[in-house]
Amino acid sequence: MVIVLPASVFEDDLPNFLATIWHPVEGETLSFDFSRVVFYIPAAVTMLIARIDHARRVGLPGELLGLKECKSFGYLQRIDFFDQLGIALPEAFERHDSGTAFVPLREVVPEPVSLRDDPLSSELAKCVANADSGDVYLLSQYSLGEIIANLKQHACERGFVCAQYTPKSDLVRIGLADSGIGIRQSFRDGGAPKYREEMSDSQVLELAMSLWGSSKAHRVGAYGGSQNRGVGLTITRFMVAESYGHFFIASGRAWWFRDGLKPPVSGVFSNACVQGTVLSLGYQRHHVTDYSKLRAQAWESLGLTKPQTDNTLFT
Amino acid sequence: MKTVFKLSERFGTFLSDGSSANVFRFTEVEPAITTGITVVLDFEGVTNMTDSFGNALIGGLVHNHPEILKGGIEFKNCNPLMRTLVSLAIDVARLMSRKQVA
Repeated sequence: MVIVLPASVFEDDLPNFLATIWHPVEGETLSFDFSRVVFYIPAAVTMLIARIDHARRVGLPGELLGLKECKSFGYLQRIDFFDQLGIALPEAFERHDSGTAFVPLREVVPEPVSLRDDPLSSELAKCVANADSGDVYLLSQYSLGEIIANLKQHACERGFVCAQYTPKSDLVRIGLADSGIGIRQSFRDGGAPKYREEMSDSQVLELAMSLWGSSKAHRVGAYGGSQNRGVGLTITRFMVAESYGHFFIASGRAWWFRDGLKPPVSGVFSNACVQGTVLSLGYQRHHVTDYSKLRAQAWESLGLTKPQTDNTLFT
Repeated sequence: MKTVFKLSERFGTFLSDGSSANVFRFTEVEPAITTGITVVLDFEGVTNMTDSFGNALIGGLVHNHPEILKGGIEFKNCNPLMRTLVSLAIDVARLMSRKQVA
């Protein structure tokens, strides 16, 4: 089977794109035809590499076709798309430091809990904010920190993250995808009390995005009580909406999308099933003006009043 | 007697990973609290923190040892943002405790 990849993928195209690349495999091979590919947002890039990574991991033979004709071949090489798949291809350009123009596609590996600094979120945030301080930097750093930690905790397989800033549209875009166990299986494995086997994939998705919705929030592990209150995704989603940004998530047969403060839309893939979890979020820099206020507003919207903590605790 | 934990030396300027925070709380901070030592969390150089980290470290401490808010813990060198985020984590822990009691 050959999947012919579309020319471009923007936010609105993500459900159709996922339905295309996760269409049930017909035959004993799976190849991807890149000949028409021109522009993909970061989320689409991560979704595609996660899909190919999955095919290779399960031993499905196949090829990447049409690379010579692909208009974004050089770009895909430059962001290490093929390197991350272990495919060495000759490069017709000289590599220079990308500065803050873009950051290569990064692998996110599930790992045992450790006591160490993880600079990936900060590095990507610096790229999209073109600074290492300020509201856009802090919001990006927060969002990346939460979604990367989620992947590490829940996916059980490696995933990929990509971030970009497009000056023309003033858009910061972040994409993250894995082809791991997916949200439903994470709830199953975690024995999450709110999870029911009869839930649809859409309901499972809603549960994952709800406050205290973590599949592991109730667990007492080797390090005592819960390590996760299940709030990161909820707060991220709120802050992105308040910044008039977009938020997309899909896992299994369901997807969910919200553009700014418009009512969310969701759907079910009729003939596809996304292995793992994929996320796309984005916002225009000029809409992100007060990160501290956004964080406090997010909690207020979830029923927590303004912080009341005793000032004598601070020295 | 006080024990100071300088967070930026362990986790950098961005406190992000809740799993790491949980290990840190369980293996280093809580043992100090149980011996009656006042714990000082020093945020010098820290510029941002996820809710996962704040809830795992600060929320976990307040939830498991509510008495520390009466002199058993100090938050040092918090900038205005970190002050807000620490306060949020404390309030979330209180909310969670109330939910469990209810």
